[in-house]
Amino acid sequence: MVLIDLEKVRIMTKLAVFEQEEEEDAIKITRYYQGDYVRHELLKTLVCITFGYVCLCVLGVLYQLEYLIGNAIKLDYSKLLVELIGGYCILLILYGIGVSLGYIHQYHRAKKKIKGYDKNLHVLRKLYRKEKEREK
Amino acid sequence: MDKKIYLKTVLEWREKLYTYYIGYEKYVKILVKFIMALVAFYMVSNQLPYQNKLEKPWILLGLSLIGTILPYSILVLLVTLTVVFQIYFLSPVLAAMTAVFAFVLYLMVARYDQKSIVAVVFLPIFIIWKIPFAIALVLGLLFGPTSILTAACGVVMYYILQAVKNIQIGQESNVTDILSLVQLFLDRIIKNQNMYVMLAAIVAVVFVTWFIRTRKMSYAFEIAILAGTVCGILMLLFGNLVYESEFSIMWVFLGSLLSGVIGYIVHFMHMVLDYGQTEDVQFEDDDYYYYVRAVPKMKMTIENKKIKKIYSNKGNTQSRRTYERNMSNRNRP
Repeated sequence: MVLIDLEKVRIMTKLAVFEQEEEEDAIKITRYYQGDYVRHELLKTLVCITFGYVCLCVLGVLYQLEYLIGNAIKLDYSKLLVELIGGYCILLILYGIGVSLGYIHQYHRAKKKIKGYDKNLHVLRKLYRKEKEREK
Repeated sequence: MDKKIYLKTVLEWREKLYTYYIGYEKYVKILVKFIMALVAFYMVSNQLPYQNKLEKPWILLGLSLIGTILPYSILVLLVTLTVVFQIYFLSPVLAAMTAVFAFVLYLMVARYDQKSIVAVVFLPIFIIWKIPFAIALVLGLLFGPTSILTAACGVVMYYILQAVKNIQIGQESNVTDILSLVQLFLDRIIKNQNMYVMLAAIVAVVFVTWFIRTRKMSYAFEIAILAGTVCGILMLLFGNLVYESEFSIMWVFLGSLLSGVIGYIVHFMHMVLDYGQTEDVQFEDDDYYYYVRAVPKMKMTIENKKIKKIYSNKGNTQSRRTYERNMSNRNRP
């Protein structure tokens, strides 16, 4: 008759509860190295910012369309282009710095949470090894 | 003595709530989500009544049931699509503009805090109900500083919808009419002083509440709620004075006080519910498949003091009687 190992069940329960709660966060984040995770999120951010900026420019053009049409000949297009590209670059830099710092902080928090989980995994591994030795 | 009785009563209630919650946690969570979805869809159809079909109760219930089973971020998307759908029957151009604004807000702001994304839907609702700081206080108490982003999105969405409601729709027969409508709509949003004042106030409330409640001091949560409420009142009054924004003074005070009370109730409930996270998990090993329910133990904050009287001498009745008389005198009110 096989008896249930209560200690093993306790540890497995804690691991399962952690996996259920932190599947979306800590476990998913710590699958990556820090550099890879931050770069991955930064790339997503840059794509989103680019789309967002294009939409804002379109809205800006619609808002000022009367002025733009009225002064189409007099406008300094090179200056306008520099301003648009400059604005885009400044936005990218600000978001890049903010997002990088934010995700680095998030990664460190996830790493701390995962420490307890790793410890329990280690203990469970030991229990399995003891079981195998007992069976031998 | 009164303070001890009050504390004891509060803790008894908290323990009763905890006991009930533990037993019905799953159903309570589903019910709360259903009510939230119902309120959101009802407010959309109430504030933007441009399509009669969406006001029918069975459609509202159906949408709420769908919202209940979806994650919160998808619920927010569903509510946004409903808003755009309603506005489409007023003006397709305005619906497109609203959709673009919502898209830009999500891409550039709201996507960085998925946990508090519900604030994008509920902050406009609470502004309509004149208690905007209730949500701001809850965000500061329960979430991190990135919830400022979702709060800001909520404020902007409210004023976009106000611009839609108050706009005069003419004919959209030619490009000129469409362009003038677009410019009028954007004017109403960009030149709206109320929006900037409310935005500053909400951001300040969320930040102040979060900052104070994360300090290591006694009554941090209570001080944070008070400070957040006062900050919100001051910001709106300052806005009224300097930027001539049009907030009703009566509702600034009344709404902020109500928001403070709601914030305190949420904080109290959170202390109960935070303990009551029953977990149902399944796992297997080589021999068994396990279905486990993990119920966390309630951690009481008040220690039960037990006074043990030790008498040195069994025969010394004189000293025992003196001691007992002294103790009974001490316990008299």
